[in-house]
Amino acid sequence: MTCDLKKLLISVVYLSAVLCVRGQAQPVSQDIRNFKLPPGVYPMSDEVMDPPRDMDDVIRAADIIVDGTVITTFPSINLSPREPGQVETDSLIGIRQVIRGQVPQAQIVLVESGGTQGQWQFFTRGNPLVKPSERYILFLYADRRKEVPNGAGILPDQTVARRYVLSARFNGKARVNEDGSVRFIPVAMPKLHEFDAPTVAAFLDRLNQRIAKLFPPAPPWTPPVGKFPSILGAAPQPDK
Amino acid sequence: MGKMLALASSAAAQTVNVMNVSHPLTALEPGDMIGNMITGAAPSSPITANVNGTMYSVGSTDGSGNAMINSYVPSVTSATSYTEYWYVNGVLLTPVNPDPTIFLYAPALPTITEYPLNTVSNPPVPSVYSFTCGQTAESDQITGDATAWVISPVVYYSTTSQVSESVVETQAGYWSGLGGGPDLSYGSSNIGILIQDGSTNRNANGEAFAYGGQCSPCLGYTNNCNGQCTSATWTLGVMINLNSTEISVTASGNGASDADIATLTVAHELGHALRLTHSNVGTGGCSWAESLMFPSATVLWECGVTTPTSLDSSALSGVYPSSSLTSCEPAENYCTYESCGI
Repeated sequence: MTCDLKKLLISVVYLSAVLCVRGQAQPVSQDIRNFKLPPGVYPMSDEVMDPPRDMDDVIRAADIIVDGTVITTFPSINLSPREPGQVETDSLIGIRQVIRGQVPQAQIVLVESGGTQGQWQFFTRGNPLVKPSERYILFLYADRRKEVPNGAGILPDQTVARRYVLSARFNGKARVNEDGSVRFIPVAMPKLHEFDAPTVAAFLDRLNQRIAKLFPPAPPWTPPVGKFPSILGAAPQPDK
Repeated sequence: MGKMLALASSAAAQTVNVMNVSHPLTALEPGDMIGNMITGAAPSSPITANVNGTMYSVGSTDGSGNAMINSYVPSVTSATSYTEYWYVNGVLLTPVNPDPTIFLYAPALPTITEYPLNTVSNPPVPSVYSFTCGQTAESDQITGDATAWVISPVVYYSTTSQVSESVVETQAGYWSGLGGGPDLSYGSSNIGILIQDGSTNRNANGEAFAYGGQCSPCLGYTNNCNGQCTSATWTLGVMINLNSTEISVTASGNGASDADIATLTVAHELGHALRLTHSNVGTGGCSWAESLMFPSATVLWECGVTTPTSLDSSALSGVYPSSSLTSCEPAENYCTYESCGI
């Protein structure tokens, strides 16, 4: 297919989509048809909707917390059929240890926003995509999309490796450096960097303390000593 | 209450949840009513709660094994946490919480936190993002700032199926009505902002992709307005994607319609299109939601912030100081991809 024919086809498909969506014929100018992202390198917003307030939020929003090493990275996938508005890149992570939650397989697929599709590159400043052999502590939740992009069959089946997304977007990603230190990625919120540590053991020690604080074991039932106050924090009435 | 009942109904028997009754799914602040709802427990049986290690009696369940216990958040000067475990007949109840990947600021058992009211102004700030295109260098070497529009009005067009044309026009009208920034004008020629259905990052109802003049050396108002040339600092186009799936999830959790949340999303993303960034999330409570650019659709909705505020207006004036905008016709130098051979 020649370049011109391809452009014509894309234009017809897009114009059809516009007309269908709007439900009636509209005077769509040439501008609409041409309004697309020019080829280039695009920084995606590093703003997060519902950003975590602190480490506790990152923990609470994670189905699993794992220590893992990147085995391989798959080609990026474009999720927008009409234009390269949303590119994501999947990586296979080998699990070294599970810190919280249950992971049924020895490996998982990490889904990250960003990557390269043709002449378009999308990235988040301060959050480079993971690369093979890198080690991370990852805070993740399951990819709950009903329709998972299959990447033309190159991605592992969910029975081999389940797909996970970074909790609180890129905030759930701490890199284990070659010197053994652990640091949240540069763009992570400042409060998370308070947990950066010189060793994995030190990082996990503080992390496990927070987990224990957030989810303490339920105490056994004992007889009540007072009545529940209507103002939480106010003194209860003694039980009579 | 309906939304929390729905949450509980899908859980196992003998459950308890906690909610901010005053502003559901937002952080607890002084004056808010807290509701603890028990379902599926033993009928007409004593309820007890262990709060920070002390056991309290809390009345009893009704004949169906359900109960609602209300309390209030007192005035607090710092974040105060309570760890609660609830029992009926001495049997531990299972906590059921809103999905924290979607409703992060909603109080959740076993540890709930009460936050002091915000006392500082919390405006959005101008965007500092860069949108230089055509580079192949490492990402951290990208430079340039497409931080503002130069020509007013900015033409916008909508192809989204999620809200009507008139709804989009109403929301754009709120922003235009603030003054200070460029006027927004609906049209299908020389479009600066396109609102469409599309994909977004996870958990984002909408997303705005902007690009500057340098991204398109041939397209647009090239060398035609008062001698100015397009540049990386000049916002030339913004694409707003609305994610119907995410919008529906947010709407469902908040007891709102999809159209309600889609409308709110359009309004918020138009703020990004005018080059404003988010305000500070603070504690995730209503007292922090002083701007339409607050980074949570749930908090905006539950706290009743659905149109631009005075803080948005001030921020816009900061992005567009007087005389920074020009008005001219693109005329003959306006070109397209085809005429550029792209």
